[in-house]
Amino acid sequence: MFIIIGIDALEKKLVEKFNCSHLKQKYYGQTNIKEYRQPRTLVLWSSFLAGKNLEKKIVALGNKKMWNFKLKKSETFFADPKKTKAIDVPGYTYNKKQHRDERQMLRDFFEQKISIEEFDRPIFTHFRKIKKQFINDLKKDYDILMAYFDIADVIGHLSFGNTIKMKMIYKNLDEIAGIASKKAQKMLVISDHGMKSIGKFGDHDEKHGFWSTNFKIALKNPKITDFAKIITKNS
Amino acid sequence: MDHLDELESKSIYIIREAYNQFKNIAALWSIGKDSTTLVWLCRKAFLGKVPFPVMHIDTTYKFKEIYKFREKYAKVWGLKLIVGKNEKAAKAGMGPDKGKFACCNSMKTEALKQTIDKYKISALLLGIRRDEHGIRAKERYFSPRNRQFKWNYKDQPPEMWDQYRSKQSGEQHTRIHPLLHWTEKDIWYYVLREKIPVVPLYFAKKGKRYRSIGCETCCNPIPSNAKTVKEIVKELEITKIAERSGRAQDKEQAYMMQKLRTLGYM
Amino acid sequence: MNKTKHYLKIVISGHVDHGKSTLIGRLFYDTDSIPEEKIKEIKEVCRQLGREMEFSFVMDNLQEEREQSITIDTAQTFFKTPKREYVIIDAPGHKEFIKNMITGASQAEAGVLIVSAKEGAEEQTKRHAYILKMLDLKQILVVINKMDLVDYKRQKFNKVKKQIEAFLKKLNLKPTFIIPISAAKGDNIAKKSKKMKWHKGKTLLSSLDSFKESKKITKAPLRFLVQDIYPINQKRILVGRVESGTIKKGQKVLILPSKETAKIKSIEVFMKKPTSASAGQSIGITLEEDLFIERGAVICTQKDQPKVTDEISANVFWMSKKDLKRGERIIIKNVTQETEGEIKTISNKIDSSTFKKISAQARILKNNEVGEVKIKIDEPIAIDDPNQIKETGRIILERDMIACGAGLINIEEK
Repeated sequence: MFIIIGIDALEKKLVEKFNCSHLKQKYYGQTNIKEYRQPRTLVLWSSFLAGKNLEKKIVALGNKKMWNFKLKKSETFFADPKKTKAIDVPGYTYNKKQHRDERQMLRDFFEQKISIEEFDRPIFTHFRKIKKQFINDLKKDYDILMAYFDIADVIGHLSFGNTIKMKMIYKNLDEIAGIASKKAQKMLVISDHGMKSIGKFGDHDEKHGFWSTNFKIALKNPKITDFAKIITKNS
Repeated sequence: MDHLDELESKSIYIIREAYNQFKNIAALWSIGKDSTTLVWLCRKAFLGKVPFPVMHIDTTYKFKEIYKFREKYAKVWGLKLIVGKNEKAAKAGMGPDKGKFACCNSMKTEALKQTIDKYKISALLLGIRRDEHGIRAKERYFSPRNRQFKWNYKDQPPEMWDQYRSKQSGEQHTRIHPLLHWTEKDIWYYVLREKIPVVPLYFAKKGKRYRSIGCETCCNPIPSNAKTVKEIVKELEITKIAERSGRAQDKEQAYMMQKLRTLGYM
Repeated sequence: MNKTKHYLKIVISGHVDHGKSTLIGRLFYDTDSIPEEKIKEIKEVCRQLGREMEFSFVMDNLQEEREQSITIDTAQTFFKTPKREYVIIDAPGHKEFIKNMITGASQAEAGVLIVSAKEGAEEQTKRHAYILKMLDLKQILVVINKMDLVDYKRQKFNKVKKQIEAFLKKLNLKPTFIIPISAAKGDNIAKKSKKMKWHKGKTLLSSLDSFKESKKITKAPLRFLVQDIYPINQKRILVGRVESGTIKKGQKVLILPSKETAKIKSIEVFMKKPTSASAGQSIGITLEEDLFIERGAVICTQKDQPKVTDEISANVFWMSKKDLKRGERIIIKNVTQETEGEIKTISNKIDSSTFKKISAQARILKNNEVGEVKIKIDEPIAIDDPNQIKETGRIILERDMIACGAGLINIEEK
C-alpha cells in the first residue's frame, strides 16, 4: 500500500525540534514552493494532486469559489491505480462545510466573538474524526490511501507561538505516522507549506514545504508537483 | 547579608566587570522599574556618578509621565543622558497605525541600532530578567550580538564561577544583563527597600494600573487597586498571572488578519 | 510574606530519558507554582488529543532547539513549598552540553539525581554524578523514578539503590536521601505514595525542605580581590568583592603578590558609612598608604595567607571540543587574577562517565575528560585549598576568551 499523509503547514523546524522520528521517516527535506505567488492551501494541494502548477487557474476563481475547486480523478495521480481512497483532501474530497465553518471561526476570533479555546475545540474534534477514519482504513487494502490533516495549520494560525500546544500536536501526528508506517510499503508525508511564527500566531512560509519518504527519491529540492510522477511510479 | 543584598552585590560585581572589560559602554534606560533599578545599581557600583552614558530610546509614543520622569532624574542623578530616536521614520510618520510590528521594528530596534552606531557603543547594560519570559530563561550575563542583533543561543560560552567574558569581533556589540537573577518580586521589594523612584503609571488610578510600561499607544493597563509600592508588593504575592499579559500583542494580530485575507481564509 | 527569604538553588540532573522533564513539570504542578492558565491549557489539549495529562510538556518553553528534543542550555525555573522557595537550575542531559550544565550547576546548593527504576544507572547518570561532586555539592538527593513501570516493586528499588550507592561511593559521595518516585503518577513527590507503603522515608519535597542553604563563612580568612580602581573625589578607590572573611576599617592587611603591607583607611559603599564588610559584599576600599595596586591584587592578613606560587596543580574538567595539549599556552583565571601559563603535564586522566583511568601520563585532555594538570604560569598568583576557600581554590582555563576548562586546585602538590 502506498500511503500519503498530507499534513497542512507541517514545518520542518518543528519536526526536528520535537524529534518526530516517524514524521521524518528515512529521508526528509523541504519542497521548493517559491514559484507560487502566495502559498494558498487549495492551490498547493491541487497542484500536488495534478502534478502541475494550477495557481493561475484556481486564483482566477476568486477567494470564495476557490475553496470549492475540485479535480476529477482522472486529473490526479489517483487515476492510474485501481483501489484508492482520499480522506478530506483539498481540491478533491475536501469536506466543504467543515472547512468553511473553520474559516468562519477564524473571522469570529478576530472579531473577538470567540476565544482560542472555543476556536480550537471543533478543530480537535474534526482531527479525532479523521484520525479514527484513517486508522480504520489502514486495516483495509488500497493501492493508494491518503489522509489530510489540517490541525497543524488551523490551530497553528492562532497558536504557532505556543510551543507546548504545537509540540503536543506534532507528537500526536508523529504517532499517527508511526502507526501508518507499519502498514505501508511506500509512504510519503507531505505538507503544502511550512509555518513561521508571528508572535503567538502562525503564518504560511512561502518558500518551503515538508516532505519525507521511507524510500529514496532522486530529487534534491523537489517541487510539490514532482511527487505525482513518483507516486504513480511506485503504486 | 539578606537575599536582596546578595542580588545587589552580584549585580554590582557584574556591572563593574563589564566596565572593566569594555571601552564604550552604555546603560539602556527604558524608564521602567527594571532599568531604573539598573541605573540605581550603576550609581551604587560607581559610588554616585555613573561614568558612562545612559541611553533612552524614544519612540515618540511614550507616555508623558515617562518623559517627565526621565528629565527629572537625569538631572537629579547627574546622568549623561543620550536620547536615541529614528528621526527619519518619525518624520515619515511611522506609527502603530502602519502595523505595530513595523512600528516597533522601526522606532525601537532601528533607533537602537542607529544610536549604537552613532556613539560607537561596544557594550550595553540592560535590565532584563530570566523570569520575564521563557526564552529569556536561556540568557547569559554577557551575551554577544551580531550586526543584525541576532543572538546565537545554541552556542553560548559557559559562565562559571563569576567569570564573564564575551568574544568580540569588530562587528559585534555585547549585551550585559546584571539583573538576570532577579525576579519581578525581587525588583519591587528592592524598590521598596531603597525607595527607588518609579514612574507613577505603575500605581493604580481609577482601578487600573500598568504592570509593565512601554509606548502609550500600545500599552494596556490591568485591573488593580495598588496605589503604592507596598501595595504592589502585596498584590504580587498573590497573583500568578505572567507579567507581560498587559502588553499589546495585537500588533501581530493586525498583521495576521491581513495575511489571512491574502491567503483567502477571511 | 518573607521578602528576605533565600531561594535554595537545586540542580536536577540525570539521563534525559529517565524522566527529568516530567519530574520538573510534576514539581511545579504539585506545588501550585505554575500559572493556572498554563496547566489548564495543557490538560485541555491533552484531553482533546485523547490522552492523559503529560507533565513533561510543562517544561518545554524554548522556541528554537536542535534535532533532539532536549533542553540545550540551563534555565532557571522557580517553585515553592510552604517552607521556602526553590530555583531549579535545569541541567541538560546530553553529553554535548556538559559545559552549559556546569555553568548552571555551578551556582547550586543541592543536587537531585534522577535514575530510572526501569533502566537503572546509565553512562550519563555517572557523568552527572561526577559533575555534582566536582561542583562540591554536599547535599545530594537521589530519586529512583518510573516506579509505576516496575509495579512499585521494592526489590527493583533496592536493586537500583545498591547500584547507585556503589558508584557514588567510588566518588566519595553519600546521598542524603534515596527516594522511590513516579513523576508521571505523582508518587512520593508531594504526597506519600499509597502504592509504596514499604518506603518509610520522606517524600521528595519534604526532603528538599530539610536541606540547608549554604551560608558564607565570615570567620574565615580574609580574601578581597581587587576588581578595578576608581579615581573618585581625589581618592583611589579599590573596588571588588570580599570573597571570604571580614575586612575592617583600620585593619592591617597584606597585599599579594607584591607582599606590601597597608592599613584600611575606609570602606566605601554608596550612601552608607560602614566600618566593616564581609564575604559576599561588593564594596570599595581605600588605603592609608599611597600604593600602586592593580586589578588582580589579593588583600589578606599576615596570618592565614594564601599560597603565592607560579606552579599550579589542578584537577581539570575539560569542556572544549578542541583538546588541551601538553605544552600549550593558555590563560588561567582565579577570580580577578589572570595570567598566561604553559601546560607542563597532564596525568591521571579519567573518563568522567566511567571513572576508568585512561592513562597515567597523557599529551592531551579531551572534551569531558578530567585530569591532573600542572601549569607553569608567567606571573605568580595567590591560591587556596578549595576545601577551605572555594572561591580562590579554583581556576578557569581560557582560550580565545572562552572558558574551556574548570579546575579545582591541588594545594599539596608542587
